[in-house]
Amino acid sequence: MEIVKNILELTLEHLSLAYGALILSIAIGIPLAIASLYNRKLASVIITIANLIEAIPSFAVVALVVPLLGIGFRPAILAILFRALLPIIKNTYIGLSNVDNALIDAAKGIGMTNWQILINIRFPHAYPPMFAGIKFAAILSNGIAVLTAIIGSGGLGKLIFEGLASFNIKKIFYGVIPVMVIAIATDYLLTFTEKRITPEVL
Amino acid sequence: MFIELAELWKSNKLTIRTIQHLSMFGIAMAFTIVIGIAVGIIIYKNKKSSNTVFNSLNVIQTIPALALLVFLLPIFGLGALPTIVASVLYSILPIARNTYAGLTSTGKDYIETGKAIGLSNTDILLKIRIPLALPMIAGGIRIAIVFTMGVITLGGLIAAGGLGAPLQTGIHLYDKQLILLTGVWVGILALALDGIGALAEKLLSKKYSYGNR
Amino acid sequence: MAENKLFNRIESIKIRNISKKYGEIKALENLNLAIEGGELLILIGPSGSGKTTALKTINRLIEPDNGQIKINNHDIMNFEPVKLRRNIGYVIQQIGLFPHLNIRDNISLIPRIEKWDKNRINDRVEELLDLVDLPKIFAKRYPSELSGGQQQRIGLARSIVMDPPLLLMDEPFGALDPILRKQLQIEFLKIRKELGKTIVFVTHDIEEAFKLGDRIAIMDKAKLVQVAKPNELILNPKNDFVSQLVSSHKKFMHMDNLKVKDLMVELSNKYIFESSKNNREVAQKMKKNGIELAVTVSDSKLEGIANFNIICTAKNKDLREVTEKVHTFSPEKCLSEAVAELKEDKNTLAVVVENGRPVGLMLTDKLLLELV
Repeated sequence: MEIVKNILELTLEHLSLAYGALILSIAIGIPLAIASLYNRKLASVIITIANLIEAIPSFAVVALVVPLLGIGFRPAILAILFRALLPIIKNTYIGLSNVDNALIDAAKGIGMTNWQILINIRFPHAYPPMFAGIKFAAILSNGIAVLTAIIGSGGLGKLIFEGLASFNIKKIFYGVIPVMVIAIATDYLLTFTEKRITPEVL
Repeated sequence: MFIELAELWKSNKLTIRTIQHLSMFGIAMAFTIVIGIAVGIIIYKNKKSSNTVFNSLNVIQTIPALALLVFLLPIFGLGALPTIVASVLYSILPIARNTYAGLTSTGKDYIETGKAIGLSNTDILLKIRIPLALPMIAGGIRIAIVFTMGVITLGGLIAAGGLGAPLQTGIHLYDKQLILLTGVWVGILALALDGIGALAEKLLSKKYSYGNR
Repeated sequence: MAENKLFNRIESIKIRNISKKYGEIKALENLNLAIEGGELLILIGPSGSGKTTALKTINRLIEPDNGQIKINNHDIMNFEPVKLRRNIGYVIQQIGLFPHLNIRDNISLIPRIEKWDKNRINDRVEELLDLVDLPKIFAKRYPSELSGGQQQRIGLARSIVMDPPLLLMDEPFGALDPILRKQLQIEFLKIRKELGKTIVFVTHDIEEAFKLGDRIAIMDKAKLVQVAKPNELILNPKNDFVSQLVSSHKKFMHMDNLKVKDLMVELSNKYIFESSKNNREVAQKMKKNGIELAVTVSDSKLEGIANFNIICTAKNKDLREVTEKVHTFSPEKCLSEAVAELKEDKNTLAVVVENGRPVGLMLTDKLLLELV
């Protein structure tokens, strides 16, 4: 029973780590995407950085957090944030900017303000790519949250690393199985929500 | 400072680690490319199976790479082999998906012309669909390069060697210099390989685009 | 490897009663058409008329729902499609050069599959480049490096690489600008003469049809409306649709396609007089018949013409003595050339002569009325 309790605790920690970072990424990413919509320079800088960071292995990103921010739960959140933020900004920006110019002109023509255009026209069009970005970020967060156990974030990854250190396969699987379940459930849930939301707005 | 870094590089055998890293990367990519393209072609030939195959590959993709890596432990043990296997499993999807998309999106004109001048279905696949899908396949390979690089780096955690090993050592010993040196070096390698992939994709697209349309 | 020749030359292509439906839409309805060996048959009609569908049934790119197509009396359904198509050249508007192959490889795709040896392939490619008037160095270039007209020439070269006796062309010049199109048409006519192939050619450009076609098959709404030689279409359009399409009311547009015999006035016997006759007698007859022109013959062969006024002023002489030389044309002569000759000689009249006998009159004022 002790182990079950332990797994549950670590699962909770894992979820707060991964999805705390995800929610933070959304909260920061979407305003940044909106800002880049009105500032071309910012947009090109963000997209370039996003493409570069995507190419760097997660493990290297997690490791590089240590000399910069130290170890523990908070540096781990920042490591996840760092990777999850970019697909959200990128996809939201692409979604918001890929609206037919004629539609924007028409909206201006009937007297809508920039803000109203953003809320009523750009956002509904941006939902599908935005959602794809969030889904990708969620999967990334889940993956990196396992990895950050190596820099002392806790969570399910802890079981895996402890198991690896002592070559205790059982322990490894106590960690791996919930991680897989969370991953597949997240993907399923988000795909389901995506399908529910998309037809309504298009 | 420079001498210090060189010393650090030497004492941690980063040259050998880099060679190990790139060898695993090369082997994994070779398998990934061959299997990915083969899967793409097979699905193209059996379109009914496409959903099943893509869904399975998708599930693998949602699983964290580290989880997949240790999941294979009971079968393959520790070391380079499970790292390469996990890497291949993980990176097949983008290549298979792009191969399939490339094969199904060949211009109708080309297919009809091919038929009309007397090409058999096999000829059309081999001499027209596949070559014309190359830019898209290259796009898939580029994504696979990034994935593979990520998984191979994780291999350091299961005794596969490569540059993941000094990263792990650095974290365990809280050796900030070692972490910075290896982390930045891995980053540079990853960006360089991604850059090569991007370049190849660009060249292929240019060669295979129809200029005067 | 034995050459996979199905036929060395085309004797005939017989399309019998073929129909094709796409869902409820009829693409072809009971098409009957006989194509003669060596001719260039144009298929023309508005889009959706079924002309391209008809063309594609010949190499089995489209299989009709019913009916039969025979080439040299062999049902094409008995041929393997791939083999059949290697015996039939095919050129389309979109050109369809493969962007990943250079010109040499584009042209030699099928020869390479049929494992011709390298020298033979190179020779053939050079020969074809020469035929379509492109320099040999083009062999190494890629389609994207070529202009539209050059690509179209390569498309033609590729279609005849296996030396097929039959060529199907689907609006091959349709995507080109008008001047280039005219230029390529002229080149194509030249090449065609060298090749002596049977050609079925789809177009929607009536001018192109008249310029290139031996016969023209007009299609509308999935049906064949009329098939005939160009001049017959102009002179005897079967219905308003054909008449509109060929603008038969504006014959001047068709001077190149009409012949002298199409617009000559037939010569009735009352105009014809033996040159040995006495003018007094001739004048009387002419007056009685109300004519002012005599066509004089000797032994049924044309001598010339004589005017009523002159005949009347020389009543004691024979007709021969007042007969003047006249411009003559063969009935098969091209109308535009005939008109040009008349204009040059400042003549308003000519006699149409067949085997020495006068058969008709060519009157410029009458001609104008007919043409406009």
